[in-house]
Amino acid sequence: MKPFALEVKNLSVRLGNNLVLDNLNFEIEEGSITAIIGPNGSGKSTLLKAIIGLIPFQGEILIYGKPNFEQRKILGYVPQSYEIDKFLPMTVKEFLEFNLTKETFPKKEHLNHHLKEMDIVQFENKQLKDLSGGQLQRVLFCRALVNDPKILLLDEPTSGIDLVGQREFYEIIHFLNTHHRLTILMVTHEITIVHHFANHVLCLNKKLICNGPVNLLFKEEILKELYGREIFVYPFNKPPIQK
Amino acid sequence: MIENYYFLLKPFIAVLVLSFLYSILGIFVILKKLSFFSDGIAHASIFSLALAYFLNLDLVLLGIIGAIFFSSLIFFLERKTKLHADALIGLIFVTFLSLGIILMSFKRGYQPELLNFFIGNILTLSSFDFYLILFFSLVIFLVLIKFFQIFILVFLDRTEAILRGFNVNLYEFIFYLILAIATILGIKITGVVLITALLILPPMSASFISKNFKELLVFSPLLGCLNIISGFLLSFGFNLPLSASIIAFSASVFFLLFFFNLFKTK
Repeated sequence: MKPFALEVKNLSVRLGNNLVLDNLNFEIEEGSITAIIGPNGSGKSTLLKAIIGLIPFQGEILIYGKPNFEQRKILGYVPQSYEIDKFLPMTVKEFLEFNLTKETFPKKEHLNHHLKEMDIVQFENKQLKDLSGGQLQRVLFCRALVNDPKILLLDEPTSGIDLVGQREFYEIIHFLNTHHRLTILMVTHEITIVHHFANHVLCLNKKLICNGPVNLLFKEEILKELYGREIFVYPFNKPPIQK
Repeated sequence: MIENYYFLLKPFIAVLVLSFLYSILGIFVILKKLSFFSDGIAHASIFSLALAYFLNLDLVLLGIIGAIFFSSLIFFLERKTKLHADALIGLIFVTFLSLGIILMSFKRGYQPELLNFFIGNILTLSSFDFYLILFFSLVIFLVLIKFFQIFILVFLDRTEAILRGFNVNLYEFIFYLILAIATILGIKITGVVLITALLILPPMSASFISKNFKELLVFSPLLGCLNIISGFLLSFGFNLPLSASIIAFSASVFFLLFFFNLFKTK
């Protein structure tokens, strides 16, 4: 059995008077791709924030057996959205160079390697404010990778990107998982796409509704419990409506 | 003829040094959306300036102590309340401004210094103030150089900075302090009303002609110094108020570059 990259024990998060996450317990194997799915307001992004250590929580979050606060540097994070200041004339390459920490700063070739890998070289001198949604997503991906993380956390990374961009994005995830042995944890709503790329799923609605292989998603009773109503995930559990 | 203006040499050097400092600090101010912060600190400092005036102490020195107190208070309240920073800055702004005005009212007779606090008067800059400005400008420059990359990282994306292991609260606090102190250093020159313009106009103008961040770091101080020199020439050439001349010229440069950029992109 592979070691656990992430262990979550009795995790609860309360924001004000609201219990956002209620006693979660799960483990994530090293090298896996895990999709976190659930309705809006189910605590998916809050879970990522707790793992990073941005919000206070009860319970325990261990990353490779150590408390998350000690292991932040081995986490990479791609946010749901990134607001670019229109005032700022900063190029893609400058933006990424600012994100190199002392450990990686002398290794500029390290950054160049990731620029090539993410296919960014062609627009590395473009200003951030002039990037398309897909290009910006690649840049944020590259930023998450430049300091060699072991676990990549993605918060709805393909929201606002067209279908071609989404496809490319999931291919990048697959590539990083197979070639870099990265453990990937991603919040997403795209159940039909997830099934191709993820091998583990966490269904979340404040509590953990399911935790296991990705085909759990196609059990009607789980989806009904998760979303509170019947959900048809074509083409896996229902045929398309015939006219 | 030129020896008639020797008395302006020290103030001119002080303004030039401050302008260079502000043009760099201003980049961070815009990035972190802190222009109201410096405005708030400047207005709140009326209280510490009035106190200094009342107690016959050095205005700039007590102003710096006041700025450290106000910025610490804003930082603390930001983290202990659910109120937005701009609301808290507004609160500190009006509270201490009103206290300062009350304090000034205890002095009998006409108070020309009160007007100087608001619109500045370069001729009130003492030799002690001059060296104080040079000293604190140097300290702030060194802090900026030391933490330059970290400030950029923290202001671009707080979450990413936390992941990189930086204590973002500490760096935000350090920046609040140096910005507050820098704001006070220029108050005798431009007054509390116009000080923010020195911070934000050079980087805003420079952003129109910069293709990347390195160019912004070069053009912003260059424009800042150009604004100062031109403002001095305008002021003494046409007998106009100095601070208003500097700011009016800076704003003209901004609008000129803005329209130039607008037509160029069309």
